[in-house]
Amino acid sequence: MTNSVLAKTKTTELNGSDSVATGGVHYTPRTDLYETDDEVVLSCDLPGIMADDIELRFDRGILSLRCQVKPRPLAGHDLVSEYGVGDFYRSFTIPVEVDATKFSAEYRQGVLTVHLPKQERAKSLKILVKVG
Amino acid sequence: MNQFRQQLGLAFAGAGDEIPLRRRVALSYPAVRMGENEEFITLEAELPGLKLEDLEITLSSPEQLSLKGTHQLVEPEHATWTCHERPFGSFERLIDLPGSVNSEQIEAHLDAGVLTIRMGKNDEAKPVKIKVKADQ
Repeated sequence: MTNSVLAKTKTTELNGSDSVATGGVHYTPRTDLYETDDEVVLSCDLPGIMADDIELRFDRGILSLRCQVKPRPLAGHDLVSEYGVGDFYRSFTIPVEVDATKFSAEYRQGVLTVHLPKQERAKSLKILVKVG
Repeated sequence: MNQFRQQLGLAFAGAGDEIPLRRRVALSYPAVRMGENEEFITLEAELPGLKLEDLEITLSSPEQLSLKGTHQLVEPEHATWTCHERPFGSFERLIDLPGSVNSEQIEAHLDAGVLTIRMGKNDEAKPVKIKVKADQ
């Protein structure tokens, strides 16, 4: 998460890679992650995919995102190729207790937004201070 | 090819580039892919989250395309940010095309955050086959 560059970052998985189509290479999607009083919200840039190809998994406080991307060949021969098209992978440590039964996710205009509502006991409470 | 890249005045995300990453990115947003065949030049850019009404595509000359737009910033109330990587604000990029295109043969699609522009070439930009005459 410290890797806050504006570009898709290309990394190679060390082991256990299943993205055979891209030779084990995957891209790290640019992500926004914020926390409000009630929930943790995550938005990932995942251009050019189908919602069905997104695999979201939450296991022991770690949310992992894996996404297959179909190649998009340009007609004819390539002149310029400033970015690569390939599978996405990234995992996030969710710092608060969240309620996995209430998760929701939507994919719109190439952006995946995941809402992770907090457990009641993890919500912050405002404490009123009385004047003595 | 290298000369063409330099002409574009762009930096590329290739290995061995000496420009620092941040600057490299800022110089060339959005990153594009371009291809051509005999009839068309195709340009693709990844613009996730961009709304159609926030995008403006202009053919500034038969050989230059301009991409202009604004990524709206979502600012939730009382939020603590952990990670803020997705781009926001306006951008503009001029892209030199490898040949002149016909302004009446341009089609653009924005689908799942991927912008694809297909431009029909003008006749002078199309390759011409040259017949070689052999001595009788």
